[in-house]
Amino acid sequence: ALNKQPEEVFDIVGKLGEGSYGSVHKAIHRESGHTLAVKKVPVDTDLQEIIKEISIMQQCDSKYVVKYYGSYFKNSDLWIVMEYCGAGSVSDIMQTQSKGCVTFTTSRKIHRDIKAGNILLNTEGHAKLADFGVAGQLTDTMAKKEHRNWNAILDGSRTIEMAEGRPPYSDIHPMRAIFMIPTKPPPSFKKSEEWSPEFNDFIRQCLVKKADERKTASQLVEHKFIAEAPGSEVLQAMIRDAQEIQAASQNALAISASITEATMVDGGTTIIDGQYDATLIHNESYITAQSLKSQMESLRIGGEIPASAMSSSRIAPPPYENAQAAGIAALQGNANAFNNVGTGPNFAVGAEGDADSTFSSASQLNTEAEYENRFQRAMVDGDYEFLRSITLDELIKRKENLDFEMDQELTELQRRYQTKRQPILDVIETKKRQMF
Amino acid sequence: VASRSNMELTADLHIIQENELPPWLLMYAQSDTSLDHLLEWNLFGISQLAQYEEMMRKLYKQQAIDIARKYEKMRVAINREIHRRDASRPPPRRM
Ligand SMILES: Nc1ncnc2c1ncn2[C@@H]1O[C@H](COP(=O)(O)OP(=O)(O)OP(=O)(O)O)[C@@H](O)[C@H]1O
Ligand SMILES: [Mg+2]
Repeated sequence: ALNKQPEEVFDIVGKLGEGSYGSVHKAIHRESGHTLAVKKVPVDTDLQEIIKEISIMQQCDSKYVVKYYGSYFKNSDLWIVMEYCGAGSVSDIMQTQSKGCVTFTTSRKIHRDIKAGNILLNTEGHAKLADFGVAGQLTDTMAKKEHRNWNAILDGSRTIEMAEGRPPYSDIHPMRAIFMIPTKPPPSFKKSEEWSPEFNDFIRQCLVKKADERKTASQLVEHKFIAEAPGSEVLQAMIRDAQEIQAASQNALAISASITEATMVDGGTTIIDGQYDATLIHNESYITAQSLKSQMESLRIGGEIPASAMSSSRIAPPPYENAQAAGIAALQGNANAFNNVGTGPNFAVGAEGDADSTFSSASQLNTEAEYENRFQRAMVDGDYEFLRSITLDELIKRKENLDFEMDQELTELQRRYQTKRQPILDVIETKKRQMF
Repeated sequence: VASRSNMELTADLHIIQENELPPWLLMYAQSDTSLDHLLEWNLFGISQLAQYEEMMRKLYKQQAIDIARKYEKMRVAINREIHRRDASRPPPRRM
């Protein structure tokens, strides 16, 4: 039925929720009367990445993973048709329960973006993992290699999120979390006495930092906490409660929108990638138009591929010769304007000290400007001596201001890179259009 | 003891190898934007452009990490100084 328009195949009957960049709808399969879930994702994002994720979802044939049925292109959206999980996500239910539910913990595996929002429950209370980064592609990009170790730890943190309602580190600046997580002792419950000793111990075991000392998932499953966990009956009552509460609430959608937001505020890599790195999806495999087509067929993706999708997938044409020389020539001009030679990409590339600015070398710091200067300077060369000559009040003020100043610098960096990347992106766009 | 997790941390925070980045691209990334229009990107092929664009993204991410690291060091230094003057305040953690 892939050659049909999706609306001939099923009827959309309502909206289930909104994710970080797509909405999820409830649909009825016309032929069988089955209920389905349809996720609509705009395809101006990297199609190759989406295909990769769908293919993972398709290959997973497990009752713990939300089933994937097929996809359609509809206008500029990709509609991903999947199994309907009547009880919604764990985070939905947590909103209606004062305490979290603890039996979901078994489902942590392989998934790169596990959080309460991505663990769905069907009405029987069975937990299923949803979107293998189809949604995660924005939020979890470089994570694969660079942050593998941290992610394992973050996975354990999800369990705390599910029990306490918010993950560890959710109250600190996301960029700081990347330092906190590897250097601090593993997170634990804020009030450990509120949870059973088995649960506390289970969490401790999940959150062992060194990967080789950490138990494997299958070892963890044998932990007393899991092995002796009550069955899904416990959850069924909870789900019923939750559904009643949801039904009673008139603006259920408004709530689930805020839930989505809440689950986005999690510590560590997820946020870094999401917030500062939204477009930093890196893609090792370059593909031809032909293989893209065949991949889509094998993934049961129907309909016309919209141009916007083609332009974002990477298609390698024969390289133009001689181009490099021309590019380098044009760069000579820029090179002259470039006044910050000597910083390699591996250290403090972004740290531009105002080397020209003069300030007194003496230790009195009389003016605001001198403080400022010293501060900036210390940031660059790592000489923090000047801190000794400022007042305690000033120190505390400085410290309180750090997140704000860092944010400003990061925003400026982002703006700058947008400006620098745009011409490259524009040319890529134009060239692709010429090819079709 | 330089703990292992610290070493891993350092490794993980360097996402670009010096040799994977053409020097001129680094130059472009760091230079003033006023002359950028002189660059004729359309002389490159799409696959090259895609590569350069990806490197720019990586460089951006590296710099974001570097900025965060810079502030984190300052935070530790400030905490240390606060602790030195007033030992009742908690000592800084090691980086
Ligand atoms: N297969 C499904 N069956 C029933 N409800 C679903 C299904 N998939 C998603 N939902 C509902 O839609 C909401 C949004 O899902 P979506 O996956 O788009 O976002 P998310 O998981 O909250 O965040 P992210 O986009 O980062 O994955 C979920 O919280 C859940 O309530
Ligand atoms: Mg999701």
